[in-house]
Amino acid sequence: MYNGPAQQFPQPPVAPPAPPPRRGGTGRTVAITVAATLGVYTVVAGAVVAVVAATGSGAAAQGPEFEGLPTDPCGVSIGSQLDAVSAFLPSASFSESRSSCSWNVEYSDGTPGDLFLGYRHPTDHRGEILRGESEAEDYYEARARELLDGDADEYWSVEVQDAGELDLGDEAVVSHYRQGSEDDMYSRAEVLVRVGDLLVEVMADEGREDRSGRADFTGDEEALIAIAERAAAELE
Amino acid sequence: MTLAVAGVLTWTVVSTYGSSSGLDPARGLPTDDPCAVVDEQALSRMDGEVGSWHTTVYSNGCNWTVTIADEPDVDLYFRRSVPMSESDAERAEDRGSEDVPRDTDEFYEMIVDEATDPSYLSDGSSVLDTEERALRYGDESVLVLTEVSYGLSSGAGNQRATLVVREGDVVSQLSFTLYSETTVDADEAEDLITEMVADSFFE
Repeated sequence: MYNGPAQQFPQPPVAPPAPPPRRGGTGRTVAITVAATLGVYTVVAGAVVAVVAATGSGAAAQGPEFEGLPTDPCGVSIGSQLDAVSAFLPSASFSESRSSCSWNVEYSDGTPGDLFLGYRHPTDHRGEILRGESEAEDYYEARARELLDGDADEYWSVEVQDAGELDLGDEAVVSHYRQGSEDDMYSRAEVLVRVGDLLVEVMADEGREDRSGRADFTGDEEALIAIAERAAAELE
Repeated sequence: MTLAVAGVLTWTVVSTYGSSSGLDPARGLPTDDPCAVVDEQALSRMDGEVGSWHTTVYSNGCNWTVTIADEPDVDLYFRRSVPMSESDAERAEDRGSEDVPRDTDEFYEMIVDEATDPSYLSDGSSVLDTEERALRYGDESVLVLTEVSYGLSSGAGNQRATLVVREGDVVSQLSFTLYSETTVDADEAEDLITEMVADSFFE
């Protein structure tokens, strides 16, 4: 299956410049240029069609677009380290409040898991969208505090192992933490960025099947921040 | 001039087919809007609104919120898929997925089984009743109606209606779940589903 970027499609070569027009020779010159250009184009188009035919229809399904959110979250490069080694079966998902992509990956400590990239509007506890930059600031502030300091109640806790603020977007934070209930804690690394009235979330998770709460995503932190940086740049 | 024409043609071909997202669909998977599969008029009669949609290499689908049998906020779900390639199926199993189907018949059976005996049921829940009815869509199709009890003294449970259709290599499912005391019988479920998707599958 062809999964490479569009840049790998053959690019049309630049056609030779037409010679300076000469009296009486213009018609012939144009005819030669037309023939040469179309010849070159036929070869290029043939190659593109061959690539497309070998890999299926090539264009992903297009559903409804939601205002203010990027339409190709899986188009953000996740970087050579994660992509070349292990990224597998990307899945894009779209709603009024969020557009996101998730990939199956293998992290640098050997942990199989999921990589998630989401663009979202802040929402209230019922999932209703809160529009405007000040709502996004409030949402960011509450979530960033949890990612930096952790949180715990009777049923659910967030134990932060390492966290810090980043110079990214309008404000950003990276956190490595364990979360869950007492007998089922699992590891996650998360980058949260606010860009205007939207939030960018990048999360590295252990696979659901055999999560241990002991995964170490430190070796992937740089890659996760780079993904958040590229995703934030899409919004600027 | 010719250069401009060649440039425009090239751009059209590359931008139409050159997806940068690694989501290039598997051969045979339909890529028209999955949210357009349910008839627009049927949706408007059910006060339907698109909630979300998704796309992957092997599947795409759409979720709506609708009103059915006077129950508001019913989740209506459509998904169509083709089986994974052998190498991707192996890789998915290496990553913890179980028994990934390799061919369409196996895949169809799996989805019908899941509709009949849902694996998401928690301890204490049980299937009270299940009914299957063959329909005329695609190469084969079935409507499955399943009633579930949560095993609570309140008698709470749900009723799920699922249409599964195989057309060549493509397996589609359309499903809704009712949580109120009102239920639909197989005739009503068939009428509802016919209204929604009669034009979307060959007969």
